[in-house]
Amino acid sequence: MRIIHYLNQFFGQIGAESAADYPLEIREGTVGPGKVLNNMIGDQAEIVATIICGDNYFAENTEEVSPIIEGFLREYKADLVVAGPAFTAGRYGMACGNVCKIAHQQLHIPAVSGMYEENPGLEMYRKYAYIVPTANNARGMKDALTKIAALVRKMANGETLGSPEEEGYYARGVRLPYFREKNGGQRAVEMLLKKMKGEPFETELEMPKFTKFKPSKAISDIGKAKICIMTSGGIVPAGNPDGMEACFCTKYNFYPFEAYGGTDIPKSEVAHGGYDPTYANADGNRVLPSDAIHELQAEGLLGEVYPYAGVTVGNAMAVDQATTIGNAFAKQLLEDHVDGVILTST
Amino acid sequence: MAKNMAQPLLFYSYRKEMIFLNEMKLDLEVVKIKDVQFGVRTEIKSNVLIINKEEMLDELSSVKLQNMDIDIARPGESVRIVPVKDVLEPRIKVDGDGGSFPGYFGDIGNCGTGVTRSLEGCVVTTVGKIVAFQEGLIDMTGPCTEYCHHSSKINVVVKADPVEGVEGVEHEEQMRVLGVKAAAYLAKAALSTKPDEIRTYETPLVKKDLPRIAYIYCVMAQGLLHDSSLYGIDCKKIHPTVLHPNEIIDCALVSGSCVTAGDKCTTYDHQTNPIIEELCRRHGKDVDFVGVVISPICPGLADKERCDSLSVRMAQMLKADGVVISEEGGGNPEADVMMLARNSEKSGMKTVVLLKENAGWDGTSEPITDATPEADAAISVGNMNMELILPPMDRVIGYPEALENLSGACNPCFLEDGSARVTLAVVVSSINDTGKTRFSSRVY
Repeated sequence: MRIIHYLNQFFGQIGAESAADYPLEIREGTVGPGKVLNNMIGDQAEIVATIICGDNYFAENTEEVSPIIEGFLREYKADLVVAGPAFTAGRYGMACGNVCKIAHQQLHIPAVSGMYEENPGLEMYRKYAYIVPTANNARGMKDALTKIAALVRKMANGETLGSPEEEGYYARGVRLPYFREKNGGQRAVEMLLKKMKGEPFETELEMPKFTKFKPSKAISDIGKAKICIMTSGGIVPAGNPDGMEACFCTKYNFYPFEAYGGTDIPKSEVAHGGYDPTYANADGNRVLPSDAIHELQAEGLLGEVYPYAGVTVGNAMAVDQATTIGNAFAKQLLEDHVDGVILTST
Repeated sequence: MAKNMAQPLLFYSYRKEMIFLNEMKLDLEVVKIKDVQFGVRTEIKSNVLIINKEEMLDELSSVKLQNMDIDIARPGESVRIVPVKDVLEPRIKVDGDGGSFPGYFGDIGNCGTGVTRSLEGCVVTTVGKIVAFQEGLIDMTGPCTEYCHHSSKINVVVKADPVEGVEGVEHEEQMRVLGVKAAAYLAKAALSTKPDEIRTYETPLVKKDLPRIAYIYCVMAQGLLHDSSLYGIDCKKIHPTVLHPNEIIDCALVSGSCVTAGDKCTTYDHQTNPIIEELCRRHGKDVDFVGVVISPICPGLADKERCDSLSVRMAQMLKADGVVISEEGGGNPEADVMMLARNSEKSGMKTVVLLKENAGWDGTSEPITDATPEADAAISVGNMNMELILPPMDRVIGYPEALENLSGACNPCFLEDGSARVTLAVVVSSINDTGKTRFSSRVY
């Protein structure tokens, strides 16, 4: 197993606070605490490279350094990332968490870190990494490295990590596959009987609390407004150029109407896998009402139709993914001064 | 009136309230099938089902279907079945009119009462050209089998494609009826053999004060190929309906759903619903199982409100103190489940809901799309977004290329070594909301 280790300027032996602006770099092999860690890990895994970055540099250039770090992880064919330990250092903890998130989200590889319980990086990034509890300063280094090495060794041996209680990492708050003792039908009846008797029971799925948004004010003069049509119904240009998935879609795009063969969108098809596509395959306007909106514009009822249609497939999309896509759509709509959106769903 | 038709009887319950009780008793005579082979006569010999393929194909023929074939896939074999439409267990009435799947090939009057014979250990699986994205796969070996209970059965696979001009809903209907016909045909073989086990299902009057539990059974009624049929009638066209649990066991519900394969109920899942099994098992011991309310899941809000109000009212008429509510599908059906939970609790009935999750491939997302504080007791049947790598199989029954078009296949789906990257959504019944398996999620 190939490991990449992330360190800040201090543990990377560049310097203390005065070197916090030290830019991002990567070195072959181990640096500083990496040497000890590498020995503790044993033969099944090896730290092949060490990424070093100054805490201030990382904090001030997060957007720039993130893709470079992703590139490093790919270039060195990382199977696992260790970041820190960061103890109680806030900026360092945030940087470690960020590196773990890149490993998890972009490369789908595991990440391990160590932090003191009050490190802000823990709360922010615990979902993406196995973070072990450490002391609040570097005097706890040996203990922290021992805990990190234990998790790494297990994973290097191909074992699946157990629960936070069993393995000693902070609860991540992620929902993972788990086989229970009885089937769901039996568990349902058991839980209901407990609830009816007023006995304590433990739900298997806490109800999430969703963010509620206030609708914006009505558009005062629709005759001058720029309106965009969008759909989560997966009406894509014929051939599905982005390969939007039929379910759990990870892609979205603003397609110009030309991509559909004009504003009557004759060259469209359904990429959505959650409904019978017969009718919308025959005429995409049934889900993405391009003909109607352009008719209204021609009649002068609208100021302008935004020349792109925002499209994704909303079929069983996880809420986080939908939030990310929604934010990306909104960013572009705001930049292009769009006043209103007609969003159709299926 | 059929000879064995159950008579509605008037009783005074333990609480001295007058109630109607349809006192049904069903003996399910189980024939355990250890292997399936082709032969000269369709019959069962020493627990081996022998199929006369010619005769069966003849029996199933339809002017609207072509390329019909029958194949056998056994547990452990390197076989993939794709795209799967439905899975059914062969069952037939021994008494009465000797029909199967009432509403299709049998009398409705004696459904749920008398004697029914079933072939356990084998299933009919229908496969053929894709109707829509929303179909699934069954692998008989490899990682799929951990999540798919159909992999452990001998699958008698009936393959057929529509003739030209047969599309969409008509294609779905043809395939649905094909499955029912095939199961009915095979079940006939059970009549000339002896059962290995007899399971009696009944929910007689309970003479002590036990918690009264009803089951609100949500079924797909979305149109657009997401449907179910009750006694052969499309559930879009029905109001919520009270049933005796035996009616479900006796094949009243048939899946007509080409919805995402992972979280739908196949006909087999209806026939062997684990909530009904558990409530029947505990009836009279620590539960008084008062009945099943079939609640259609419709897409429009007005219909959701109609089905919510009527279902909860029916549970009240059954004088339930508690209800189990199960979902089918996901997304908008979550709204139905939440409305039912809220309304039931406000009407004084305690609830447990069964839900599946879309928590993202890594389990970091909110798992459901609608919520209500009343649904504080929930069973999770697992995360449908979980990814699997399915290795290639030696043999594919159906259309291998359809895999990448299935709802829940990843993009890119096929990897260099021929493996396929998919989510559990493509695995038939893997995230089944009736709680068929032990699979679940927990917070780590």
